[in-house]
Amino acid sequence: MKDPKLDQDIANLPREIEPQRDLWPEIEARLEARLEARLEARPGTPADMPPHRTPLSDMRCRPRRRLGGRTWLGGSALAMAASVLLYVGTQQLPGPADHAHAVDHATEDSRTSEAPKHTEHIGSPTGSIDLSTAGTTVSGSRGWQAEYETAAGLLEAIFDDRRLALAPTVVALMDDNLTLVDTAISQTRHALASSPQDAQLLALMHDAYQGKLDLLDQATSLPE
Amino acid sequence: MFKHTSIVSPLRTICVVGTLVGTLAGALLACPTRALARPIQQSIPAKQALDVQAVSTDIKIVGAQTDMITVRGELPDDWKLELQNRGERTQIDVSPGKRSRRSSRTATLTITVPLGSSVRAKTVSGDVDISHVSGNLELASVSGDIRAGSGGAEAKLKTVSGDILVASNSARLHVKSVSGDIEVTGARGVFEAKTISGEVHVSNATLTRADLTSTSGDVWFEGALTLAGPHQFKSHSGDLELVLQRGKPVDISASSRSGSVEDRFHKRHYKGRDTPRFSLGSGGPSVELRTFSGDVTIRPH
Repeated sequence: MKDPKLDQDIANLPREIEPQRDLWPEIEARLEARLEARLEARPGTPADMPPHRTPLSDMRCRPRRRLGGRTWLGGSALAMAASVLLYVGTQQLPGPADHAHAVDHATEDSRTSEAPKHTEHIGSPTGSIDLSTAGTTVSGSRGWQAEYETAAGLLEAIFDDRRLALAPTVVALMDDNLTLVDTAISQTRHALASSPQDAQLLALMHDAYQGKLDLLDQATSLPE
Repeated sequence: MFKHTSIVSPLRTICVVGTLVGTLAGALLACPTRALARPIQQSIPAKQALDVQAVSTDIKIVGAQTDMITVRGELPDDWKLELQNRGERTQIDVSPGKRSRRSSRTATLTITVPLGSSVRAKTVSGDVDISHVSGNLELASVSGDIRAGSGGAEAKLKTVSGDILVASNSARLHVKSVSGDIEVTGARGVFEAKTISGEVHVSNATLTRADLTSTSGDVWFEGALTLAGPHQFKSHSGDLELVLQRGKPVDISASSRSGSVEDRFHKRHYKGRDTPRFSLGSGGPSVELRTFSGDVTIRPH
């Protein structure tokens, strides 16, 4: 049944509503707590790795075959994951706009050049993000970080639902690698706190989040 | 005394019989594949594209001058292989029997296809090996390795813990793993590689566009980067090394938050938060290397 007044009221509603307060601190606190819980659950993984390179032997985790017979595809999970990733991929999420702050160390026999602009990622199944339209500060990046976290949270929920159906070795491997990307995100976030204008750090943050989405994309489409 | 003996004797019998039954069951479970495998050989007129879907199956696909698709190999006795044409695709499904679903039984298949076929193959714990096929490829395995010795316009290869080894001239190559290493020789055109904890090793490449990423693994590249670009090499905690030919121009931007950047072309070494930029020649493509805590090295071939 058509109600013109109701239609009018709906048409008059605002298209966007600004939150009444800054939600990011709470989101960030929850993310930190989640990461710490995961790290605590996996003994031997440092909660906050120092900013030097972790030995490869410590970082890598690769259970080898055979995983046993499993059937292919959780169709609905795959569809949901694809939807989420398509959504994130089509967003124009901010990142570093330029590298103007970067120190130029052109040598006598080399010439100064413009830093390469980020344009797009090549054919990623998780979509691409145009960094040339990006914001340059932590506060400006909070929006796209929240977008990434929302997408990652949805995918993690799908993965969590499928844990019991997957081979334990595969679940352990995924968890170990999720810990790696979460650690990368955490380290970059801490560095950004002291250098909020650092475009390279923002780009690294983008890389880390993109890695997490790619990983979760694979995790949610694993055969059972 | 008498009573004691009468109790011990049946117990001893139970123990002996139990041990024998256990040993026999263990032997049967330990090597069922060899004992119960059966050879198979089936053929069907080929369609343009081939889909293969399997579980614990090593799959070898070989292109040949033929208009048939032929499947040879060994399957455990209770496994089922379906080979059929559906529309424009030939489909091969390998499904384990009920007895095999929780065991470590495996199958091996060798599939001969026409040279120009496009191939999509998925397995869980088996290897995928493909050669002499010039169509598009889409190959995936969870814990098995993927080896591609050929490929058409586009190839997409994906594993979780398996390694990926490619000697391909596909114009567009997309490779992804979680912890498996990626090793590519002779890549041409657009090349994208992503891994979390695996290493990326690329040699003898000529790329119009490169995007090589690892979270904790090293990235090593040797070859030429052509003008189209941009070219990106990234790792969070792994090292990045570029081996480039002298005389091929490139504009390089390199950064490492806590590692070092070494430019061996100009014998320069940077440490700290600087982002050195330098060029080799003039008018070259943009090349960006960035890592959080790894080291960056750019050196001549």
